[in-house]
Amino acid sequence: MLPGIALKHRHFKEIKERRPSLGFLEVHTENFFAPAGYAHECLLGLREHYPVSAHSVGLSLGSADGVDQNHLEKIKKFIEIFQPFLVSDHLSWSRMGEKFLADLLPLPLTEETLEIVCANVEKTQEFLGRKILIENPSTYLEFPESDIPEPEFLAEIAKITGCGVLLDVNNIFVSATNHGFSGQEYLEKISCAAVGEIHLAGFTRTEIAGQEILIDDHGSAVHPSVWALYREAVKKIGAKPTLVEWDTDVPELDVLLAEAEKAAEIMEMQYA
Amino acid sequence: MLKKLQRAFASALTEEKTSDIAPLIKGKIPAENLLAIYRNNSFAALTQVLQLTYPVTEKLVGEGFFKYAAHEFIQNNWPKSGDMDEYGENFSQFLDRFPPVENLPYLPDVAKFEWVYQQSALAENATALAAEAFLELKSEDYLKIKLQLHPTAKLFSSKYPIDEIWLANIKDTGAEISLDSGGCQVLLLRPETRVMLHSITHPEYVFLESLQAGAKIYKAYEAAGADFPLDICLERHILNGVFININ
Repeated sequence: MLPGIALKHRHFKEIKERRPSLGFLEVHTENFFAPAGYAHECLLGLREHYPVSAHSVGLSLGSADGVDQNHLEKIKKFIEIFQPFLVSDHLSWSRMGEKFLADLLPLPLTEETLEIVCANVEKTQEFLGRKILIENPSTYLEFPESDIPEPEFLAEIAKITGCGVLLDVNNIFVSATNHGFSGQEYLEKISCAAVGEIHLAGFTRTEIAGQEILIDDHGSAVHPSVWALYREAVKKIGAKPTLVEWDTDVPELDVLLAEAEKAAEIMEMQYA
Repeated sequence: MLKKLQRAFASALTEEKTSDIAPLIKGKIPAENLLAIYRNNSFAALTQVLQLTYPVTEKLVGEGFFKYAAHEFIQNNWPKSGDMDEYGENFSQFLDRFPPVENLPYLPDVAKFEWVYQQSALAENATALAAEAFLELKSEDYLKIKLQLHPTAKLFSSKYPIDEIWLANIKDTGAEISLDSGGCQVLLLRPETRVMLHSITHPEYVFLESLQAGAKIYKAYEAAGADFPLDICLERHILNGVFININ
């Protein structure tokens, strides 16, 4: 499958008119919860030409409170209407009691968290009647109590619940740089069979308290180090549906298409 | 344990209370700075949601001030769900009580209009009744009949010319609008993918509002006042595609 791109509002019309050669389009499921309207109509039209991937950011699969039934119902409705070939969310949490905190917050990777995430993933898969993928997030802090490395934690969730892994290569690089571990070693430990999709995106560098921190802002081209890590990932696990994300300062469509083309070349090289 | 940790983490984001979570985290930089990254991300994401819903409100006060106002709003109005279409409904009430915009008395109504606009833009589709469907309707039926409005039909009124202010800014016409030019009553309707604005009179507003609340035609007519030209109004809105059912 050719790489896909994240579908942004400003590109709706151009993609519809040009129909560029892409493997799929990915959307944030939450942006299509409304029962109708302009975006809804556009996606209905585009799904006639491209497979759609539903990537959500609000399930809060790591919440000790459990997943929000109302949110699950809206995702189910999306699935009924748009028939996505992939459904995913993150290894993170974003809801506490009555408050939705609007970010992908980090989790201590412990046995307790593993149990909670697995219960939430099982509930989600059962309700949606299908397998989901879980993405490794970018993190800016760690919990000393964490005692399971992230790639193993994801492999365990996949083993227990039957879900897949959405491997975000940019997030590996961002977290590795922020916490001083090796992205290559992370790749060594992933469960290759579980990976169902790969994400690529850009990050930004910022200096806080005299230290350089990478922030996953999806606002620039994929960094050369992330391309290098992607090459290794493809070599190790084979070509998987790959997505180029760009969510802030969204550029011209051609810029995204060129990034997708780069990913396609790397995928092809593995079979040359 | 996880629940306790998440409660402490949430307090650090929503109340800037970091004392409970700080000992439980580590990173390259001090705990306060680490938590500030997440706090900034949350506020930035929610500010962006408000910017998308309230583009004209933002234009009227400028990006910098809008972001400041959004920050003040978010602090006391966290979303209750992950469905961002539901977020920001009470932004106009917040602006109404926000001292820095006291000198812009029409601003809360601009925000209110933008919220109503979004409700019309995102409401479910429906097929309007064609004019033929009303041919059999006699005035004696008005006593017992209800008309169901299109789900995208939304009503808005203000003592300021908000529709003109909104149009001039969304289309960037540069038109000068006098606040003394009077108020407005607007019917918003989305027959297909675009929301259309229909300027209506005050009695028309009352009439449609009563129908929307489930009143029979005659009751809505009474509410609109004795001089209300019922047949002209009905014909106009039948042609606009406002009604989807005769009950």
